[in-house]
Amino acid sequence: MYKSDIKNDVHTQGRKHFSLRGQIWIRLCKNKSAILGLIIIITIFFIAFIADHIVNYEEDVIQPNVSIRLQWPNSEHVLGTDELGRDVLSRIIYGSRMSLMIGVLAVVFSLTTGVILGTLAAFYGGTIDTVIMRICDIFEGLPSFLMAVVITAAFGTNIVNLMIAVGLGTFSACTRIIRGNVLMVKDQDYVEAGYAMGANDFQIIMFHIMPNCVATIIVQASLRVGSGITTASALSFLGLGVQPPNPEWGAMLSGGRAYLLDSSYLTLFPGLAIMITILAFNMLGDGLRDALDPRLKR
Amino acid sequence: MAKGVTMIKYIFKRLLLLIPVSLCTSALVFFMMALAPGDPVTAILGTDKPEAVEAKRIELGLDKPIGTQFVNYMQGLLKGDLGVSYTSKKPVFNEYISRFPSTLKLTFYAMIVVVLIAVPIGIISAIKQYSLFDNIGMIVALTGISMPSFWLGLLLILLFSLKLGWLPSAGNSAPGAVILPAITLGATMAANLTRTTRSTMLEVIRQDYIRTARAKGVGYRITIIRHALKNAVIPMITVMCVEFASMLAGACVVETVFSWPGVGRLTIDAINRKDRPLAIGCLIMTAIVISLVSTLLDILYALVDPRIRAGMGGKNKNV
Amino acid sequence: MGKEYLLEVKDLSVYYETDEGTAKAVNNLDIQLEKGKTLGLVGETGSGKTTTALAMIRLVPDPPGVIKSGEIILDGMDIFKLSEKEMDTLVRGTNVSMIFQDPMTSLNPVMTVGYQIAETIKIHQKISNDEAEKKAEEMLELVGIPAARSKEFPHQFSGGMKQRVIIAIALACNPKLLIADEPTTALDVTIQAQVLETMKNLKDKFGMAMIMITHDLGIVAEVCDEVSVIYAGRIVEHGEIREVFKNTLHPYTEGLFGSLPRINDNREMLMPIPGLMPDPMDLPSGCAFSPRCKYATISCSKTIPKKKYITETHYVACIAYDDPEFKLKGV
Repeated sequence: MYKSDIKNDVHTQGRKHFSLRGQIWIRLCKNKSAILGLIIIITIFFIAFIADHIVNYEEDVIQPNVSIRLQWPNSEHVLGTDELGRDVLSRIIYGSRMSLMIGVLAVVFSLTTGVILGTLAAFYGGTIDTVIMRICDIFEGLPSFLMAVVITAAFGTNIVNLMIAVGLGTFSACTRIIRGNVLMVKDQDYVEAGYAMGANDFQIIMFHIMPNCVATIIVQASLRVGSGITTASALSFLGLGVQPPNPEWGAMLSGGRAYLLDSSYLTLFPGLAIMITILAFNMLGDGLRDALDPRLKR
Repeated sequence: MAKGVTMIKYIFKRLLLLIPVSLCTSALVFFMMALAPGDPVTAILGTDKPEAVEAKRIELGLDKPIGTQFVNYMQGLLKGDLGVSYTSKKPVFNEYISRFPSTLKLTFYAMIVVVLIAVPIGIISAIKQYSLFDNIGMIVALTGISMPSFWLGLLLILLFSLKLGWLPSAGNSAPGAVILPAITLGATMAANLTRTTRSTMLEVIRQDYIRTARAKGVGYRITIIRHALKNAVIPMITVMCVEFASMLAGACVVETVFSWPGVGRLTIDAINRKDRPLAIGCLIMTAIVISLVSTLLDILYALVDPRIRAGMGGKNKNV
Repeated sequence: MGKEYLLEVKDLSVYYETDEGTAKAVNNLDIQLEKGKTLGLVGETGSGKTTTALAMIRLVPDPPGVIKSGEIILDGMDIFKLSEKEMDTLVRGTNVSMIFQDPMTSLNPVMTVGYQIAETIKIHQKISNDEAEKKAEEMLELVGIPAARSKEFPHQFSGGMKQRVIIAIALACNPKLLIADEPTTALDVTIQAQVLETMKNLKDKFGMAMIMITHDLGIVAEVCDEVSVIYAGRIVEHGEIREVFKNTLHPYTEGLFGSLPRINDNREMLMPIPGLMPDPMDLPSGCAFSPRCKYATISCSKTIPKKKYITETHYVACIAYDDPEFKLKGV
């Protein structure tokens, strides 16, 4: 309906009212793809969690066993063996740990920085705002992927650096988004009312501003994990990320590249793993965004 | 006319803003790369005999403190001298420029793929919201953004090059060699742009002025084309700008997969080979190109949106 | 009745069918309007006024809005039987024009105001671009805006002027009926007066019929010849202005008048109508007003009251009037 019509003709007083959280949860549950995404994510987390118990790290994941290399999927190795004879399924299972860790932690880093800087910039304005915005401009001089490339090249290729690299590539976008959100909220009357009641800055931020940013933060988080995993696997594919023998999915694709025609399963399975994981996070992220702001219902 | 002069001033201001930001980004890149572990000298020489290493160091200017190296580099940068590649011994700037047209060609074709596919699908999905077309379109788009581009590239090579033999998989010499890389590079962007186009159109269609147009007797189709699209184009220009920057980044990966001789692959190779001047130079050049394009798009934005134009002209009578 | 009606709405029902339920926005509504007359459609927010107006030019948003029943005859044309193209060429913008509530968002921001007026003209008349531009400038002068401003963009105008541009667009093709949906609600009081004055003059000049949708009884008194009071999608009272104002019949109308402050009334308290508008998704059975009505009896919630004509032109939908002695007690 048109914006003015919504104001005038159809309103909802007098019906059963659920709490705000209840309404959001109901909307989310109605979204089948979001629920599917959530289930997949929980499954992947679960697999990553019990990886040690179902897969023997030394034997299956790292130890080369050249005599059985490049076997197509068979009863012993359900997804085949790679170019060094390692079990592909085990490596994919273990790789889930890498991808999830990097993706999730990079986003945590990115969002935390974004929230702190964005809130400071929007709340205090003036010089602080200008400085923070200029810092963002500088980091945005290069696209996030290239920024991540630079950082891994600079600091070395271990998992922690990879997380920081991916995080630093996107924190400027997060900062801007949070800043926009806070700017919108801080001029509201209830903030002024809070001050009138004698709250100090910290209290205002924690109790009035933050709750209104939670929706944005949640949506950004779930959507950025996907791109974080993509960046991490792309870096590993190029040789700039996780180093062998670590079973990262992107690195596995790089290894299987030479055998593309004859051992195409080496390309197919790790890629599918990446795609399904990212798809799940995107479905959940879309669902969360629709549930938290139904006016934007796509 | 007054409008022309203010427009030129605006363009000038934006271009001027480019410089400090680019310089800072360049500085950032320089310091990051300078901190990179691994000694480039030993990598180049292939030996670590102390006298040879020392000599090479002095030759490359690596013995001086970082600060001096930085200043020298920046001075060179301002003169357009980006140093000399360690591996090829040729000037970095020339190396970059010689390969830039290839990347440009790739990006150009990829952009065509993106715009020709994404925009119409996005618009039609918005008009026919919740229809079968919309649902399928959105599922495909969602899958598209979830697929890593290098995986898509490998799969395309597997199918069209190796199994079917229709298209070449490497280099840019054979005719049609640009097809697979362009599709790969464009696919993720297309998926993104489809979703963005759709949501922008949905926003615009709900605006009151669309209802005014319909109440005047403007037919549905013309309302969409004349009234809605004109307004939707504006936010889409911003998105295209971001997409272009992502494309240059994505080119690094796609060029590697397809052995395409562009600047993306040059950058990655340089980093892997620890060819520091080349790596830094490529990154900086990319940053500058992106800044130039985004400034151009900002100017385009101002030309298209009369609200911004008026803001510059000061003819805001608001009576 | 034997009268020639320009507009006849018979038994119109419009529902909005959504996932959360069906909102019965308009229920068995009747309207009759003669040429050149002005009808005020009065009701609170959510009473179904806008939906009724949109139905007349078939712009009720199609999901989720559904025309459940009814017939609309405009100048001899059966609105629901026309094709979409016929609606565009014969009805919208030419025989019937509609202006909406919020002038700030009703104009396309990237087109000049002159273009937006000329566009209406070009759709309905076969004239050249230049002639259309000239006519657009004439329309601007007519609503009190200098013709030179036709090349400017909407954001360069204030709210009142924007609304006048919208009036210019609406009247450009000399419509027989103008539907104005709360045209002055979003404007300052002084500007309101100006815009209403402009509308009155143009109405007289062109001999248009007008439906003025509003919740403001003052505007109704100023501008209208007849008034229909709408509640929960139904007309509960209708008559000529003098009749309804002097001899108010329906308890709801009485409540509307009573909740207005009056200068020569020395009362200390305003008398608002207790309770709230019913939820269109969950209308009370029988008379929709009965839960809030101080005259309500048990039979009020059993049947939906039918129209009862008290004079030739004044009717009310209230079963209390089955008793010929019934009179409102006054507020």
